[in-house]
Amino acid sequence: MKRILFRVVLLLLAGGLFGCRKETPATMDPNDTSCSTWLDVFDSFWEGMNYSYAFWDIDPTDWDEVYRTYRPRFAELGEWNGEHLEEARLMLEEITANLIDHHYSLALFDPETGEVACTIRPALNELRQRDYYHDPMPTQQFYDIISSYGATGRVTRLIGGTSAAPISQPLMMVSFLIDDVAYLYFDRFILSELFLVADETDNAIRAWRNFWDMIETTPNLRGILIDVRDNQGGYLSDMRELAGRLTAEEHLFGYSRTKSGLGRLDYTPWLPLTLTPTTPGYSAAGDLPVVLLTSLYSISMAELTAMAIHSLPNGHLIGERTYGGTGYIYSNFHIAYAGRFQNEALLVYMTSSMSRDAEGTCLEGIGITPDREALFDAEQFAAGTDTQLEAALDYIRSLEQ
Amino acid sequence: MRMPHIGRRLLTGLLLLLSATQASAQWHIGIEGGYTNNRLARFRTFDYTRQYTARGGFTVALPVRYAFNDWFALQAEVTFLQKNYGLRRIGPRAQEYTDYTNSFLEVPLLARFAFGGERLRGFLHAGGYVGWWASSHNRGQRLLDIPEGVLMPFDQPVAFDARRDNRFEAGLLAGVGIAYRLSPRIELSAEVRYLYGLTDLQKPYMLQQVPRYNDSWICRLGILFTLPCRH
Repeated sequence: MKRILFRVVLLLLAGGLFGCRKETPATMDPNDTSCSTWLDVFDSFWEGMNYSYAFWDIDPTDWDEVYRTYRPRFAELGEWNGEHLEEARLMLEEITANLIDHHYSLALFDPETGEVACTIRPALNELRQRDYYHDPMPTQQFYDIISSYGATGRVTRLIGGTSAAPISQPLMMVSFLIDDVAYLYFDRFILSELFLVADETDNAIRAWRNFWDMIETTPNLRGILIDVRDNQGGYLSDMRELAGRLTAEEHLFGYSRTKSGLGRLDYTPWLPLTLTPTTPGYSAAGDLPVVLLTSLYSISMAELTAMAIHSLPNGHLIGERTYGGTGYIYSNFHIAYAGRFQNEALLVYMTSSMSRDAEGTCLEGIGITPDREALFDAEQFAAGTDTQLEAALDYIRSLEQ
Repeated sequence: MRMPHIGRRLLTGLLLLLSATQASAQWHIGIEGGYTNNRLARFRTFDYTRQYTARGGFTVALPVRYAFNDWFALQAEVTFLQKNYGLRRIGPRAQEYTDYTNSFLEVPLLARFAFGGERLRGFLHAGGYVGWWASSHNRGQRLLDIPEGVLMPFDQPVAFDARRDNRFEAGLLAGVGIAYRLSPRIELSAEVRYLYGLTDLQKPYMLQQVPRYNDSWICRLGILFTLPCRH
């Protein structure tokens, strides 16, 4: 009897001890969630964001309030089917409206077909409120302008076109000499992949080689102009391929950190983002001014490149304040536990890291402000004058004085 | 009115304790130190490639004991101790790690039950503690993203985040040890103690929060001096 009593007391004590600790919530991998109701969809979305969004430190969205307000409303939608897709989309638009991550997009899949039914991109709301907001640069008009400059002889050594190499996304690259300035335009950072698969006859490769050849061989070259207007970003490794060739020594240009745990405020230490020379001790640019032309739609790796070029003593930025998607994706979800996740109902695309510039300012949702502003003029552009390109060339001329 | 049987026993015990107190109550004061081994108690979640590991540290304590008699005493301490843990990664980022060194100032209050012979005695401790998370430091290495693949070491103090970090800690403790009476006034002791944290290291700042607790083993050696009694 005594022994039984002793065991009961022990059990009660142990129960009391463990009962004093909080219960651990049943966390779920948002990628593995199967959805039969709209509540399942909400839970996978809310939890995926709760544990893995990289910007909770600075984001203005009250995520707990989102849970309290919207969870019951999603529960009311009942079974996950196409009938309530529009209501769900509207609610998710409200929920994500102020998310600061400018890479952020949320795609909802049609429950019947599995196809993307709608995509929500909250950054566009912020962009539309900027006083210099405009549509992306019309690519065909840009080519026409360059061709017309070529026809007058102002542009020489023009090489460019779309890459035919089997790369994961299309790439357009153009290089030429204008007013004794070596110019390079490309629309995404996919150089590291291109160099692995493209041969020397590829349009992009030829434009690339032409650019560096102009820098090496043009007598009285006045400067280097890299045009990343509307550049959609891409591989971090391209930093070495492009900006790394323009410096002889290391330059700190920012800091980054990612999530270190499932808590919203769990972060790794800030670690430096460093531009390292591709060839130590050698810069292809020498003392020439290196000017980067940016636009409202320059995002991600284009913005990191802007930060890197800005760190160079001969680096300058001109154009428009950039998109404001300065974080980056460094790995997949199951390594970073941050960034993109996807299940049968939705796909959330977001970055897995936060970045700061060299002064310690986080420019997410703000963008990189150029040294000299040059805004896109759609009318002039349509009429055949690229005012931003002209401003960049003027800027290079002004640096000589 | 008849007093219940258990009540009578308790009253008798208390009277015996008090009478013994008057006869042989003594104050002891000393210093103890030793090794701590702490782990972060955290239940399994989906981020399975993050592995929390136990890490060692040290502790120094100034215990003050009031012995009511030769088998029962109350003890309070001022303790500095480290509750360290590590974060390791398995898989593609296995080179990355972080070692957290956390320093706490604690005040344990415990009951001591002693048994055994005249010089060599065993004892049991049971009680609780409150503490203050005084500082945090992390050291480790992370793979850089730009330039890619370069291992970057770091070694830095961690600034507390007032939104997240709960610097107040409380918990339960239990210990077992032996004490050797070197002389009438000097006692050496060795103890193994377990600290069971009851307070989450985080404030409740988010819904669906995964709580974290410190669980620590401590091995201590010490010396205690018996203060002269006034009769």
